[in-house]
Amino acid sequence: MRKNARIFDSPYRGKEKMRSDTRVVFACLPFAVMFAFSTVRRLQAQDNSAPANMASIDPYLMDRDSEIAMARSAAPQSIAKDATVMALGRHGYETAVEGKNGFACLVGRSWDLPKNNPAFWDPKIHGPICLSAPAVRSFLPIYLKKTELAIAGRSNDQIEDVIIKGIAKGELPTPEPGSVSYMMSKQGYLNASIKGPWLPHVMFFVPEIDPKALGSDLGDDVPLGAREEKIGRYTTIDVPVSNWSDGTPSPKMTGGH
Amino acid sequence: MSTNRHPIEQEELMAYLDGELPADQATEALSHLELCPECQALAADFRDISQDLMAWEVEVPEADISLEIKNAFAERFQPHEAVKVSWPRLKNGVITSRWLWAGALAIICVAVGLAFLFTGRNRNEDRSTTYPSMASIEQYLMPDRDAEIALARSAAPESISNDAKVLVLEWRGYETAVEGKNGFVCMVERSWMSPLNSAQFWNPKVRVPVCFNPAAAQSILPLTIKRTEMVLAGLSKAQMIDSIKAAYDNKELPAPEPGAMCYMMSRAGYLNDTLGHYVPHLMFYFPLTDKSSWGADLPDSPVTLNPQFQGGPEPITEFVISVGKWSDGTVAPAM
Repeated sequence: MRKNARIFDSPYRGKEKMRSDTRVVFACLPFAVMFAFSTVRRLQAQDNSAPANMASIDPYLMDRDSEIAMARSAAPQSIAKDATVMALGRHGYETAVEGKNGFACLVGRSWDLPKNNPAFWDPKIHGPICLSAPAVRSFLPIYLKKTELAIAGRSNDQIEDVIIKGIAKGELPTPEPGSVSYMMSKQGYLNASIKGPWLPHVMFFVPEIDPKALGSDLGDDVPLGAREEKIGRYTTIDVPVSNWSDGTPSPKMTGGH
Repeated sequence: MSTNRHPIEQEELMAYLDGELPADQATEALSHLELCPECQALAADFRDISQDLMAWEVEVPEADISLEIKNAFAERFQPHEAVKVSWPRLKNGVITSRWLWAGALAIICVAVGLAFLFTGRNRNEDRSTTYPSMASIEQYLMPDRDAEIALARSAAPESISNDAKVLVLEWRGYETAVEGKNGFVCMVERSWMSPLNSAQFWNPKVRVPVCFNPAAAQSILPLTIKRTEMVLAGLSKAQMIDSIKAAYDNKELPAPEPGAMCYMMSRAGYLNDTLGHYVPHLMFYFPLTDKSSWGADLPDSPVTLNPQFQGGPEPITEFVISVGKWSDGTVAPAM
């Protein structure tokens, strides 16, 4: 665990002396965004104890109604109720509910983490997220491809290679303007270190830009986090917000972080 | 007003003056109004009427009227026995006082109704007649340069603003007061960065501290500079609209760059007479985007659409996300 904390502290903030409460928030940010295709790419450590590929899909499957509810909890009801909902099946994600507002909600699994993340195959990982229509077009295909490869038994290295090559060849997309997602669920389990959903936040995607040019990493007082996703050739911007999707306040936000 | 000659109806003109038109119609109305003397006269009439109504107060009745009303009131609510006793007075002129009473009640009802009407209309925007034209430039300037620098920097956390370039407004436009080194630019915007149809457009009290990130400094700040130049040059709003449109058409003004955003986290700002300091927030700029694609302005959505450029000549969409703290680290009130 100590190793994990160091790994995820360092690439995100690059600081050793953050205030403890701030550390909790910002050190966890990569986990919060793990499903939504934003992640740490400078991780150096390799946990050799982690499995190389998925042993079975079974541990990752959920009760369908529970999965639908969890997926919808990612965004306020005004968005989620009319969104398409996708649920993980044995052969990949399936449309469980047809939507009509262009958003798609689903529960992300661990294989969207960086390939060196020890939790890459952790079946406890659940990242509820609702993607806007541009994000559905330009981000979801990458995650669905990862899912397809994971279920097919590919290793984390192989999955990443396929994604890199797919983007390079133009077979997989890069972010469209207006690609945004909501991750405001109380129900998420983003990583064993967090043991929960981190903070409610809005995350959006822009073409590659230096996080510092957004203010990220410049100081503990900056209310956003950004990270370059080299694999996907984009930058994610995460802005924690005050309330969970159910309207209740986030204690960490209202109390400051 | 004929729609053959004028693109807006009288009702729309009234709605425009009250800041109730959607932005696209408001821009159209504004453009026409700037060029149409007939409509300008009509608008002036509407404004006068509106001002008169707003200024109108129910006068305190004179003593003898009060007495008559009092008597009428007493008669109206006296027990039947008493009515009988007073009945002869009715024949001696109380009918007149009853008419007065009824008239006074009618006037009060109308006045109350109008008051509600105008209060409701102007809940979100102050009277368009409050700031009908540009005040003297002195009123927009901050005499204390250091105070303006500090206010500009208060838009973002110190870790950003300490190394940012700072611009201050001078007689001939914005000037660099402090050179920066992190690519961010902090400044205090004035009222003319409001929507062009805003009643606050000329409000000299407006002070909006903002720190643009490098992408916004490249692609949004030029618009602020241009609007300021046009205002100081005395251009009409119609001329500004034309000039801005042309500037985007000929690429003099750039489209928002990817990642263009700004910090607006100052607790010392004054956004307008309605919003005051507002809440600390971040703003993100995009080429014209349908707000529904972001889920903006939906119930409980943490994303709102800033109307600053909606319907205006700028092809920019601006989304706002509030944050929990002011730039000084203090916790902000819930939005």
